[in-house]
Amino acid sequence: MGLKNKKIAFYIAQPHHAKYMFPLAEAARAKGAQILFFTSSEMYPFEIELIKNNYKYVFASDYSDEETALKIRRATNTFCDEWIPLIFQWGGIRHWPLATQNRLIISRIEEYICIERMTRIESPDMFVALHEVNPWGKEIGHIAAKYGIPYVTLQEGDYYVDSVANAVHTEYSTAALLWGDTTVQYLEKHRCSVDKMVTVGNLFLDGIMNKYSSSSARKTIREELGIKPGKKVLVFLLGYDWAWVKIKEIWQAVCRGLVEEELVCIFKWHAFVPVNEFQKIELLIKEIMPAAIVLQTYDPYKIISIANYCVILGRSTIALEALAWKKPLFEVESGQVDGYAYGGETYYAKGGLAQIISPLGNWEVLFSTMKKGLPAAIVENVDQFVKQALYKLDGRVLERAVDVMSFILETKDHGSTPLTDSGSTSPRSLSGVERGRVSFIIPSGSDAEALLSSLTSLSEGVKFPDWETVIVVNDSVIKEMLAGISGDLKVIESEGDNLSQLYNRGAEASSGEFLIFMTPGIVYLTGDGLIEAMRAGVAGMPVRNADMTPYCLGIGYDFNYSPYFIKEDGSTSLTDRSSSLSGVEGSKRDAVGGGLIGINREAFTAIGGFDEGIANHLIEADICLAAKNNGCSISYLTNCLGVVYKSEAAGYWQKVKDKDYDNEWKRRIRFFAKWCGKLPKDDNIIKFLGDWLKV
Amino acid sequence: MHRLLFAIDDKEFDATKGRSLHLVRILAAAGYKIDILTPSKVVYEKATETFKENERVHVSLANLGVLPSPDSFRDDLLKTFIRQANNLFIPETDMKMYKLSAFDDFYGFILPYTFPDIDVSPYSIILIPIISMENIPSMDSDCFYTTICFLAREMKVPLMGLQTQPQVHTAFLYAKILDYLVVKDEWEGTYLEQLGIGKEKIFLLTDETEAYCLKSVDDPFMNNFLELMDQQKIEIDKKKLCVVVLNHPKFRPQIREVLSLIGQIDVPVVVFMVKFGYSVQELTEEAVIQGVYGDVIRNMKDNIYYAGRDTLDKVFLVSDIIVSTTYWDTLSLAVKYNKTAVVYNKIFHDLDSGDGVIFMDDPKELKELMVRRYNEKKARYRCLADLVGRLCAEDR
Repeated sequence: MGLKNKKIAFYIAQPHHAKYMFPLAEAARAKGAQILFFTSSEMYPFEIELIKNNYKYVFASDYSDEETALKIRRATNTFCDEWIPLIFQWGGIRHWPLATQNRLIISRIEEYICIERMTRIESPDMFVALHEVNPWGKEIGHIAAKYGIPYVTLQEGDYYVDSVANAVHTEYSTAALLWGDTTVQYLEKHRCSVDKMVTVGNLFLDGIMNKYSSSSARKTIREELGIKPGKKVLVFLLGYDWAWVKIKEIWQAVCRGLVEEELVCIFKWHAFVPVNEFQKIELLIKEIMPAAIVLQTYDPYKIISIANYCVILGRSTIALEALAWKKPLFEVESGQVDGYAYGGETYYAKGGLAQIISPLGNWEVLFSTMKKGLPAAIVENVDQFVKQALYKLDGRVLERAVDVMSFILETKDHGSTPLTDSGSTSPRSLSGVERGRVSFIIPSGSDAEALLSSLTSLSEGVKFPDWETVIVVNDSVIKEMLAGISGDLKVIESEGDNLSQLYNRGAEASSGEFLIFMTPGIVYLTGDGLIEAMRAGVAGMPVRNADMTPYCLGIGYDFNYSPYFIKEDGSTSLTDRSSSLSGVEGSKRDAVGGGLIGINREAFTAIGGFDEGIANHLIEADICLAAKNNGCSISYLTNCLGVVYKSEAAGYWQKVKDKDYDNEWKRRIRFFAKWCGKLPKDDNIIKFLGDWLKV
Repeated sequence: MHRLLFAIDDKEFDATKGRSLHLVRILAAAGYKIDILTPSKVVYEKATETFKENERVHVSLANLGVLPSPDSFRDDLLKTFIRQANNLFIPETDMKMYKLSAFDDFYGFILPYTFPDIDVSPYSIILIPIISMENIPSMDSDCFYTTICFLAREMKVPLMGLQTQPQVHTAFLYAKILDYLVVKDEWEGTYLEQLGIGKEKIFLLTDETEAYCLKSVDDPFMNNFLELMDQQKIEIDKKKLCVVVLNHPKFRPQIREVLSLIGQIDVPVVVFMVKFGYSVQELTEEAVIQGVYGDVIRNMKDNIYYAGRDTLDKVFLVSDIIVSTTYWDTLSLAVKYNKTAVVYNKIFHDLDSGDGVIFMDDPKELKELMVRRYNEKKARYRCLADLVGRLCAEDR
């Protein structure tokens, strides 16, 4: 239902982009989506794969008209006027020479303006691009955010070079579909939004392994390459750096000891080496090893499928793919041949995934493996590595990816209406409300000390004339403990750890005109002005750690449009900098919370309560957005104070791990899909990356 | 003496078939000391050969250095790029340009090439080719020109760009960086203005031979003419009206009348007398010329040159007006090169060849035509030495 009749615009660039895009587009088409392939007019013919596959496509520049052309000219001229003074004050930029700058910068201006126009004309329901790090990915992402169009990005390869560039993978994505946890952890380390990541597996490898793994397919491939039956195949997989090595002595050393063996050696050259350069290298290899098969454009997966053994030279995603195919992997350690240095740091051997060839030409470890098979430890390491890196190779990767796309569009179609456990969206009842009463609603959690600290703080700190406490018990031990506590507590029972559900059940059972939701372990100290603020909408306050360091000084939105607990004093709203409630800088927030958030019942009911389809750590941001959407204000009361007695005692803010893993993404992605195009963003990358940008 | 630097690599040199050296020769002849700097051995050798006897021109090779650029170095540059460009937007949008350029375009094209030995401080002006996006320089060449531009900015030496390809191909960023852009056609200057290049930066070369040096196509007639000039067989003051007169053995009265009329007009004139190539009985053509037109010619003092008939295909290109007493195909060709071609002879006065050649026999009309042509030339004539001279004077 989610994809039916939806127009999904896929951006196609290099062939290694297309190989992920085409299967996904076909899978989406099979679900009823209308596919629009679009590309740019670059020096490399991006359209070539589309033509090969008989797909209809458009260039973004096709949408250019006279006004667009004038805008491009105007923008280019103005930009250069601003750019030139900048480049001449920084000597480092001369490493990015001017003609190259000219080519790339002007292309980006043209593309951006054309893609925006295309977007206005085509009105796609969703954009899909390989990733956000390349310029097209960012152009599309920015335009998608501007027009409120969901944006799905994928993974290009095995990310292994630590670079600040990796920090921008999830800036505009509604969801980034990744191969496995290895990438999630890697990108998280680079400050990408984990909330936007969904692990689905490798969109391409899954299918291609299936396609080439049969014995008949392998037989055909061997015949195509002229490999006689019975011959073992040793494949050399070249990373980018090794692909440029033209020193004959090094290749002689590589081939030493292999020429006489009953092995067929295949050298798979990196595709980025220009064909004329490759031809020279091919001649060189053939001169050293006349029987070698040297290939550049031949399908690398066909080659891997028939490989008995693989040697990785340098680092490349293809090594990971060979491991996925369970091919014994060998890696060359750095060294010297006749004074020529080769190689670099080993990676696969260091991880216990490959055996080392050292020095070049010493193939003993290969011959030993040919006789005895792979060491058991390596087999086990590879299994674990592949699982981490590629999630599941179960033939259902595309299905999972399409599910995410479908879920996003369904969520977006559903608008900002929250989900409830029953799936209905009926508002909470207003009957039985006591005017002026404040209801504190606290899920029990499973930590008695934390809960008691909150309850005690209420009895000591609340100054409201009429208030009550509602405890939503979701733990049997706590339930027993509460039975022994006397006092005016309303206790209701619920299940699970869905914080929205627990809060909503508590709200239903409460009778106050004003509702304050607290997680156990938060100590309420002062609440001056809370009622007045809640009357206007949502209210929050600073929540500090026990040592008074900031825990949550309101909720901000980072570079990735992801909510986070503000830790700095003096922060302010991204969306409303014009004025502040109290007139004091820093008292405005886009959202408030941190385990302590208040709202008037009328507003709460109008919103439909907390969205039970949203992950716990995002529900406060979500309800603030919903309240704002309904015309309510968000107040951050700097004179009030809450303190974390026990940090995250209930674990409500912890990201789900190993728990309903296959579906937990929905509760995160729902937030971004629901508020697509409406989320605030702190676009200050210097602040976002902080020390990381120091040289 | 002002020193000029002419920096050029092979692609841009080849674009105009090396004719840029002709411009160097002109500037050297105008009194400038010029250093040619190139990273190309081929260009170096050609330029060295061309100027081996010219003391005002010195040719040197730019040494290419390669810096190691490990990932950490590139990442550091990337970080600086982000910080530097953080507040630059695509105009009329809120899209920050670094997001489009930093992570792939910049990071992926950080080049290790340097030219550490270049010193631009001694120069009054630097001449470089205007880079074409249809004939984009190689990576190291791009670094060469970039280094020159950066050094010029640092040392505040004006950068003068010389066209090598049609201006529609011009790398716009380069055009914006250059202090002056020398172009060969009016429409190209207009085009640059439309793009947003300041009118005051654009200099149209109207000197036909110099403009030809900025063209990327060969013209055999112009090549022949350039060859003559480079061999210093023709050295005339181009600011004067140049009239080529084709001698004729029979129409002597008309020739005499033409030469007399030239002597009467009150504008600076230089005359090329192209000999017919004949002799009659004991008289050579030279003897007839001196005998019949000698008094008129003597009044012209040093402003008359003689050329052989065989050089007509080259010499006509130096003219503003070519006057003959009968029709030749060369006149028709001259019209195609924007020359005024006249057949001055009453025998043909009512002929119309349909190719722009003017047939006339009225002396007043011919005089007016020559004066008009001179005034037009005076109003339009611009050569490279003028621009360089003006800038050097401003600099002083």
